[in-house]
Amino acid sequence: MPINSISVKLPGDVIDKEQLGIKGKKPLTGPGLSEDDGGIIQACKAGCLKLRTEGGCTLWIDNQQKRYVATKGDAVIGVVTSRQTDTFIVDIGTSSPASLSYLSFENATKKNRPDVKVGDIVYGKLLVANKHMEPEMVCIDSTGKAKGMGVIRTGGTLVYVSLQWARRLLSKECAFLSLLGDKLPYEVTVGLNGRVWVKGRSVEETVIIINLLKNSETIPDSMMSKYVNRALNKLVGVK
Amino acid sequence: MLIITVNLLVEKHMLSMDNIGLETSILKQADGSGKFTLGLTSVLASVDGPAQVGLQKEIIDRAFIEVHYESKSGQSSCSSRTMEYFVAQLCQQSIVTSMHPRTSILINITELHNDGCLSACAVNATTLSLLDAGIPLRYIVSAASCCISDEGTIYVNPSKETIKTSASYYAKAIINSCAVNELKYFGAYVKVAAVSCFPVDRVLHYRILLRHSM
Repeated sequence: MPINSISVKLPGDVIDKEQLGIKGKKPLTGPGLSEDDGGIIQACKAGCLKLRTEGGCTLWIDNQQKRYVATKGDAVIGVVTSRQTDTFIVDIGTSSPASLSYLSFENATKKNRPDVKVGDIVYGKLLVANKHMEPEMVCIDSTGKAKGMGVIRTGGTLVYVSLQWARRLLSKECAFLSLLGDKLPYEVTVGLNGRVWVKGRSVEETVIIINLLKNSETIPDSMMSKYVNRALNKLVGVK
Repeated sequence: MLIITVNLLVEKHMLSMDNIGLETSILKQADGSGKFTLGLTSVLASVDGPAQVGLQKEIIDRAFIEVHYESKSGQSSCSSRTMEYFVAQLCQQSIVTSMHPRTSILINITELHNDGCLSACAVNATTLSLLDAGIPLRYIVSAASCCISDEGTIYVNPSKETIKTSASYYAKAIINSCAVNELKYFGAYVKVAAVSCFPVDRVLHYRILLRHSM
């Protein structure tokens, strides 16, 4: 997928469409950019301007952030904070907690309620997310299948990372998760809200994976295999 | 028309521009944090938000902005209220508050050391922390302090001593990256601020470039 990083933009910088070679077609503006009535695109966050030319023009700013802002369709990990008559309230790190209907689980009916308790970790998708409404989460896709979503019950740990690192972990360019898996088998679920659930074969291995995960955020993609292998080899030496 | 000479090179009167220090993401718990150092003056700011807000503070069409300032002595006084008001006014203008309605953005400013230019440093530290937290901004606000001596010379970023001895005036000038012309104090001020704010923009630019070139 041709994604070009172009330049660093700060809030207030005007994006010059001609300089980017976008002619005629109106580009789609993503996060970090705002477009006024006159069609002038300005940056409103500090970060790297990215351009994708596949299937129309998409422009966005890739910035580093810790606070999650709900976006429709994002796969997120949340913690159930309370139960109401027909919904669960799930904390996903946004300003207002998400609601999760008890009917939006696989095979759930009015009589067959899902067994979800306060404190459970749920992985799901955001069905409704806009700034005026509280986000709504679902644990099924449009055909009613779970597709891996639902309550995570098998132990493990939930760690919080920055949003940029969570996005990078899920991208094809970043081989961190697969490199780690070659040496230490583990289970992982990454939410776009910066929450990562990890479970290794033992508690010790889970701790090792978490520490590596937290420390490798600043390692560039090209250095990742070297870094991970060296870190793991050191551990073998200690054992 | 008042003609004022701008003396940028009188070192004993001003805090050295070489000693500008910027740091971001230094606090782990906060959503964004920044430390701005100018000479010996140092200010730390942190931002939390957009976060959940109580019913009393909720505004339905925009975010609620709250600024807390803590002085080095820890005692709150009239001057710290003035500082909070000053920074809050600037943030109200620069933050796109309509993007996050019914939320709160809490800004905490902590004075680490004061050797003059405190309010300018507080503004710059706040800007750094807002950028770090990813709060949508219309423009970047940066600030510099000036004082005018008896002879009518303007000193940019004066030290505490210079402010004490300067008979006439001590003010802060605010500039932002896109609306320079909106500043209509007097010509010299805009120039002064532009000169002193330039390093802020440049260093920020450089830091983000470093982070993304990985």
